[in-house]
Amino acid sequence: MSVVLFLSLISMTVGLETGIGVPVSGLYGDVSSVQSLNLFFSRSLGVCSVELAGGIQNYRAKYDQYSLEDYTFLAGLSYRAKPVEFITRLGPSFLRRSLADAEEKGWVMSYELGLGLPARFEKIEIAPVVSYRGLNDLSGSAGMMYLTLRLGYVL
Amino acid sequence: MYYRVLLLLTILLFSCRDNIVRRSTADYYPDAVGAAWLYNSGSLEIFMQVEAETTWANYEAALFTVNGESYFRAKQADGIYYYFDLRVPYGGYEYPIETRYRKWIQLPLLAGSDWGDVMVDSIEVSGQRVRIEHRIAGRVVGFEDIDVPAGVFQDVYHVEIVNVCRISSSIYTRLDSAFIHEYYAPDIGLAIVDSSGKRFQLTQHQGL
Repeated sequence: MSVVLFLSLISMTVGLETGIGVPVSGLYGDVSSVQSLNLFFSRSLGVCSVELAGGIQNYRAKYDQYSLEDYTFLAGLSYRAKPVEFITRLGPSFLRRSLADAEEKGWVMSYELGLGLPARFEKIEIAPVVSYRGLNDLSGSAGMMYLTLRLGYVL
Repeated sequence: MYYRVLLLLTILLFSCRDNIVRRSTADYYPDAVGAAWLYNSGSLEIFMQVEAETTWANYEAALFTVNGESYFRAKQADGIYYYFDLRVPYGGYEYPIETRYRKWIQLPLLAGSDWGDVMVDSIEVSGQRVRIEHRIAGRVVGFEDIDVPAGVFQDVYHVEIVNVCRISSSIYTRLDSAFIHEYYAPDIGLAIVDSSGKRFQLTQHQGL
């Protein structure tokens, strides 16, 4: 009985997150907005879920020849306290900045704190999420506020 | 479990070593009013100070002085612009031949980026055609750590600039050329300037 109950609590969700954000610290001198596209995998363990996500963040620069983007790999936990869901993630990001033929790239640490409002329709889960995402290295930091739509399919 | 946590922390720590966020976010041209920098070459000193924020020639600019001489510098999304006011003296009057902003450095600073343009114009001075050809070109050589009397700075961009100006007429030629190395430190500004064999290093700064 307890095994059946446990298995029914474990569910997996895969999906897509797409969002738009604005820099609130660090990058606002060069960047006006940022768009994100992530794939995520979530494994529910009752009220908590283990989350994995990976995707690209494309920054819209004020100077159109300047290009900035990062590729992010995050792992974390989410906690569901109906009707909301708290999401925390942490992981490395690969940041690439370029101007004409010149390019700089490197690894940074990124983290994300989000608050979602999930709704489930059969196997489809939809959640608008407000989140803060930080990029850090040993002596610099930048932060963005995102509004994200999270679309998942429960396996 | 502990190994996984340790592995994750190690990956994250190594992720932070490139300092690319700092280079992306730092202000390499602080121009707060009152900010001042003192440079020394061993025998000569340069004192630079931001005197005011103003509007000059339709640009929002910082008015600053270098050893008492005034300059206008405008910070735009694509670069740092200096206002050039070049004149041809003749018969007790100075005829303006170049009065405009020119891009001195392209922003944002990025290792390997380069820029440059040439301005060609001419004016009539007392019946004679006087021609100007002013070329400014630059390149970001890279970033490095430097040690100057004001301190040790990391992620300092090394910039090379060539500034060549030729003003000529049928009876008059003037050629000014300079090959300049500038080093910009994050949130400090110009830390070293090396021109015509003289290397000025930052010894003090305030108001940043």
